[in-house]
Amino acid sequence: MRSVLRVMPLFVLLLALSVALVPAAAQDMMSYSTDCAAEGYTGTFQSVEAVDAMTVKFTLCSPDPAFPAKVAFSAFSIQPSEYLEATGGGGDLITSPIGTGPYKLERWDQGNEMVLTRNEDYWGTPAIEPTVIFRWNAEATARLLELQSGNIDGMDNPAQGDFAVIEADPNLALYLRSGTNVFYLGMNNRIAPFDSLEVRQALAYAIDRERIVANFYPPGSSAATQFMPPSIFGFTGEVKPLDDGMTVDEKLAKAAELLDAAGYPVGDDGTRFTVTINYRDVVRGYLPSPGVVAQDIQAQLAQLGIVVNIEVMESGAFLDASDAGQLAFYMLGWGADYPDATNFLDFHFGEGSSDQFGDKFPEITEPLKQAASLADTGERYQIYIQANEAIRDLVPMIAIAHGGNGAAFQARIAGAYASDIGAEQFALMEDPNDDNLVWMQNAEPIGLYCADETDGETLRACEQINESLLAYEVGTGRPIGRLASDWSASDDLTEWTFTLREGVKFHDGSDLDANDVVLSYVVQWDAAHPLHVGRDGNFTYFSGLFGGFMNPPASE
Amino acid sequence: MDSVVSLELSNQGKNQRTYNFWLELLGNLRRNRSAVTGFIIIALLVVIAIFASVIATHDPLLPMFGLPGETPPLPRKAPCIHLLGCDVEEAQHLMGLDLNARDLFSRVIFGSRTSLVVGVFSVSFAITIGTLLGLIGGYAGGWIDNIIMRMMDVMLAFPSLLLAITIVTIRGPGLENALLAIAIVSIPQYARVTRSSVLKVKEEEFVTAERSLGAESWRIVFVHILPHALTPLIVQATLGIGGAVLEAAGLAFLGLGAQPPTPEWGFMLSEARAYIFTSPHLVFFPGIAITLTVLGFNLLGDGLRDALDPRLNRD
Repeated sequence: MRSVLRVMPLFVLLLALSVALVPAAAQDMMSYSTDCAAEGYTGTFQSVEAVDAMTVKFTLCSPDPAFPAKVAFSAFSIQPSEYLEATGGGGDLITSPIGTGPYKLERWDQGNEMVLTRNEDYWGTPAIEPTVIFRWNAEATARLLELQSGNIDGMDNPAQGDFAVIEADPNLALYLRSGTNVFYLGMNNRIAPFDSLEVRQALAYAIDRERIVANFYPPGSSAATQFMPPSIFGFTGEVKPLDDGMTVDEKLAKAAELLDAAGYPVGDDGTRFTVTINYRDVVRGYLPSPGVVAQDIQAQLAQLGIVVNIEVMESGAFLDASDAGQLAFYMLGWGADYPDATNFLDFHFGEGSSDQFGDKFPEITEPLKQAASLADTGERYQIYIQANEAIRDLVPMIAIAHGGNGAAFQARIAGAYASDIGAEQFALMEDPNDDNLVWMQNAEPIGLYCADETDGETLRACEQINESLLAYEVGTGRPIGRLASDWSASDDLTEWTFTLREGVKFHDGSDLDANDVVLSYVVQWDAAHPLHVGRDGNFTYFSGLFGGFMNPPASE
Repeated sequence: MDSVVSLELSNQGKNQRTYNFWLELLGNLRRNRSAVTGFIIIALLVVIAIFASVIATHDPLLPMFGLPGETPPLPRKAPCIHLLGCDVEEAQHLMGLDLNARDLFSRVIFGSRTSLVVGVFSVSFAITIGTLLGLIGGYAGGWIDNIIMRMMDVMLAFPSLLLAITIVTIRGPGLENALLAIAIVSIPQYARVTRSSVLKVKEEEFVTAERSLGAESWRIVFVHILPHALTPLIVQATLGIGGAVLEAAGLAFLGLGAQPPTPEWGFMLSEARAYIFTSPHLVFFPGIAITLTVLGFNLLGDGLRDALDPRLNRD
């Protein structure tokens, strides 16, 4: 609040200035609103309006203390309104984005590499390196070989066994990320046998998380006791896991008892039931060796007579299927986008979250909604205790690990770092040897219209090209101004006003104005908007973080 | 009456010929050193596959976590053999542990089952269909032959592994589908081999004689022509099993063959390939197993070809 008060006079001054300077009839100012009490509307947005050419006001149905942190997220980057209209909300928007960022897309040679060049007209400090090249390889060993041979300047996620190799190499530097992520086993409660609470609880008892972390995770990782990573607000140490203090044998006995009670006794063939576990064969910080972990879970559940078939899926298809609630049992994880409980809990379990776990539980959605509308940190914490307890008892998923991981760079790269939330800004790095920075990550970005993406590898590419109203300060993760130079909130935290930065140009030369901001939000917010298209049309982040869409599609 | 006499005569002739044929074949094989080597390797492999549960020291699917004598870290643990000086307190693992801390030796042993099953069954399937098509095409001739053989040409035009991958992709990954895919892609070679023998044999005088006695076509084809076409088929099949084992390993390497946790050499290689420098035993042992198996079948196949070649029967 203090910072808001501090900028208030400045804001008023700027508002007055902009009102004075901009000719009144220059442009039609966009404004969209809805009725918070409308039938079927679960969202928190009431209106988005362009007050004038350089001022945007968001009105919320309920207070949201995390609003700046959400607005700073890269899924809410600002697109030129003309380009949104020209592309129909999809198509070229996904493959040749136009942003305001320090880099613009030069060439995306799909399957091979992505080349970004410096935006010479950047409003802020221009990028140091003229070119950034994104490459990808799913094999950590292969990435390290490329780094050692000098073909690339930086790589993401070294393999578990290679941390020591990198630290011992004077030419390389290792940057660690703390485990601000979670790896979980998702279960869809609309699909048998996971429609039974006992079955879900039984699995929570059955999975030996310590064994998975001790054997298949790099140093710095920890076994999860709840969905929230310990370092992020919303982690409640008071909430102990179901199997707290039990030995492995006790846990298995309890799981067997629950499965018997659920009506899945051991059959004549020695098995209880057969399920398919899905995963994508990509390495992420939360899951460094997916295939091996899948097989360990298979072996662990085999002890209970549960037959697990393993089915690997293509990354994009896997995410789409899990979002759409088509997968019964799957391995997925989440890395922090911004350091707040809403990014973890609301996104996965809130009212507006996807169908990935099936039906939502009011015992979880209610406290989350309540917590997200409180300004007081102490009060919010108390409610998160409730939410985390409900998640533990209702078991929509089993949180397994918080994976420590890192990035490795050539030691000569100045300004290299590994962002805890995986949002490295390459514009800040310098390679003294040549004019480019070659970065190799785990996987190819899926699409560059990140309003409709959730994959971390994809978001990282978007973040170089597009910018949001706010950004996270490197190091602290605190929201700071980006496309908005200033922002302020009403006392009840329902009205947020953003003043846009002067002189910001998109890569196509057009100027940033308030209508760009309004349309960028509205195409996500309004499910009936003709430009609400995207890549698969899920816009998962918007509905996850802001509760739901305006004009939501009729649920089946 | 006539047909009964001819039946007896032909049976008698066949038995006599068969007897000599196998005896001669064995004699020739024994003199061929590479064939003997191949035979020994395959015999060993078959014994290992049949008695896998006796030979294996551990359950191939069981991770060793928490078992006595297993000092962490367990995944990718190097081989521990007491005879070679490994601490007696440590649990013995002849080939070490795999990524999931399962006994690699037991997995390699059980892997022989998977490989042999794929090799033998896919080739049996392919040989049945291929021979049938070759017999029909070769004997019938004309447009029937043309249709069958052009279809075979089309299948041969695709690289066999690529075609197998396509089939598995359509039907979904798994051992059965991999087996089927390998079988389907190897049909044309058997069809062609059979057809060329049929074309030669059907012009022989004994076939004309049989026909003039009023024998039905199916009888001529199966009783008189097929036995003469067997020789090249046996060679082709033996070499084919080696190829099939290799293709199954290739499919499994790509994640399209046997699914985890089934022990499969190709999949074991694929899992461990990232650790080739840090834990070479994970790649070495399954690799050697594949090599030996394919080598065995190829040596035996070559030996059979030599032994069955009439030009080499000089004594």
